[in-house]
Amino acid sequence: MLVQKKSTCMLCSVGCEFIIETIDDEAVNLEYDKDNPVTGGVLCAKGNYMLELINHPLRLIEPQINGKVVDWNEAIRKTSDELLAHREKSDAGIILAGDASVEDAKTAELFAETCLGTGRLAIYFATGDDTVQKALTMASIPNRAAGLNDIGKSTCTIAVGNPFEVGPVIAGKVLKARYARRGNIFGVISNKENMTSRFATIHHYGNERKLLSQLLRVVADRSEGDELGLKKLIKELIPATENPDVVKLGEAFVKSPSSVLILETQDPVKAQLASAVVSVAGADKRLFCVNTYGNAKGICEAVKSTVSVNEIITAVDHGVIKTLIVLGTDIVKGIPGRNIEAVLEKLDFLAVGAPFGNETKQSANVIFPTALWLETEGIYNGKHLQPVIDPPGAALPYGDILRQLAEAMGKALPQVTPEPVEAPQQLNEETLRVILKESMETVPEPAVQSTVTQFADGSLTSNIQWLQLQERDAW
Amino acid sequence: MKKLFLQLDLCIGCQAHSLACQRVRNQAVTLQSTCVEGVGNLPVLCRHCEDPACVAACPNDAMTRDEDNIVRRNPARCTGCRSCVLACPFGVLSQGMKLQVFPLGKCDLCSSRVAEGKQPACVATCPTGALRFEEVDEIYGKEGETVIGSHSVGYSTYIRRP
Ligand code: SF4
Ligand code: SF4
Ligand code: SF4
Repeated sequence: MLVQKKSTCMLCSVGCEFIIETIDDEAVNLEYDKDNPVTGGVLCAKGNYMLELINHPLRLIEPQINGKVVDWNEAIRKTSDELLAHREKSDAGIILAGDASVEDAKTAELFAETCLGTGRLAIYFATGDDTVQKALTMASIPNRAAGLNDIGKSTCTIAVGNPFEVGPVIAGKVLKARYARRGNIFGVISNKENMTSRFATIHHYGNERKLLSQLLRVVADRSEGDELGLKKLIKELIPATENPDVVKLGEAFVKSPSSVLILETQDPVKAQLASAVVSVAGADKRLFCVNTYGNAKGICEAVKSTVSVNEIITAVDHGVIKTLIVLGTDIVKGIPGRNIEAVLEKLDFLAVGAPFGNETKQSANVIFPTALWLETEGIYNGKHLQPVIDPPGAALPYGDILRQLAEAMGKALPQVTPEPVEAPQQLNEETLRVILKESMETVPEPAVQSTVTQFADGSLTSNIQWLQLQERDAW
Repeated sequence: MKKLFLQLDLCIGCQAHSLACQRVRNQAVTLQSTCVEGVGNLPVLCRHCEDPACVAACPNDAMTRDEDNIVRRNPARCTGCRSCVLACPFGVLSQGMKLQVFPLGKCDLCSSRVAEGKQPACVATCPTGALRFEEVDEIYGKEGETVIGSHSVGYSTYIRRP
């Protein structure tokens, strides 16, 4: 019988919903949820691959030890024995994918504390780790996040970076607002011409950090009130700007009755600057962040004791971490500019849990097949998602794997119910000083890759490349 | 009769339509994108011509224009000679030249989906609403919109605001 189940795309922070149709527990079709009040059911190229992700030919379905297929008991026993042997030395760490549910992230946090004894947990997203989201949570006034519908109604939208490339579905909302009335403003600040800036009414190309701090100054000059008491410091630290585009944008942002700042970045400094702009501009201004994929917001609000992925890799490199569990991520391909493969060689023991075959697993001692978020129940960015289908073969959700490991180590982990850890800290003079100092330094930021290469294996990528080749050659 | 229209000023070139088309047609891309310098990637749509060159060119009667005014390719009759590819003045079928496997599916305006009351896949997925599936008469009469490209063979495809 044909059953329709709704779920959410986790490949960027826009979070579009879609319908998976199943017959006898087999996913057979992806359908557009045309009655969806927020998106109307549209999906970008990435979203169109949800069905293929579930039925992907490279899905892992059985646990392996050193390349040999084994059953769960054996894989769990091997891993827990290694962890117990290393427990005394406190040299273990865990990296968890950002597409984990809040519950699984909480479980991982407990696991890192009670079973590893080190509390070393890093959350990793396809485009980096959670530093951007943390920066946003730190710097923003609560309840200032824009929804998609806010963007559709905005009379002044400013985009930073290239949000249309990462989350094309917001383009529909942005353009709706831009064309709704003559005089509506759509400004783009980016380092060069891109997909988004082509639609701008005002655009300025240059160093994004610098332009954002200029925007902060303009907004501080023009806005009324000083809720956070930061304006004096801003005026002291940022020189007044002559840049006419930025001045125009800043003025419009403050004046317009409904303004939204859309940020696409992997740079925590820009995230904080953008939060500062929105906070200082007035209580009715909103921020929308298109960045890391997955459950970024949910996890960052619920889990606090994390180190960054880079810190873990550095620790492995220096021999501080000797055993590592990586759940759901391809850190080898995912972190540009570091020879991760060579670093992982230094480990005594590596266990990798992944939904697909990936590069990280090449050097793994133990491999666990894991479920996708589409196959797990849990809370994702404030939404309670139900699985659309059972995980394939012996694959298990991250949380279940960790609980089994804990049990084998003699420490039962409880089922967790997520609750927020602490109210986000407001922007204050001290943080602002640090941000502004850092914003003076220019750092290279990895460019956004093609929208569909995030799962860098199998047909997902090759289809896209094929399309691009076709188009070049044919014309 | 309903046709596909593209509202140029909404198209961001994300190629979602291609992927959707590919998906519902089992990997045979029938709605390809083309790169227009300075504008981006735009979809190239089959016009379902009144007097289709592809149908005339096909030596095996595999290409037909059916009663519902939709131009289709019958895979059972197609030998893969690619005459239709060469004949189409819009390059709609051109990516077929590169493929080892022929025949490809061809755009039939998702008639099976439409019969179920759904939109064609490319229209349903288009993130900005740039692709539309509407009655030809209605779209010509819409206020604030001009249909451009009306000199092309068959129905014009692109609309934009004045
Ligand atoms: S815009 Fe983002 S959430 Fe929506 S379909 Fe595309 S990748 Fe998925
Ligand atoms: S899906 Fe829509 S916006 Fe994207 S390239 Fe196609 S027509 Fe343009
Ligand atoms: S000639 Fe080209 S545009 Fe016309 S019906 Fe044939 S394929 Fe379509």
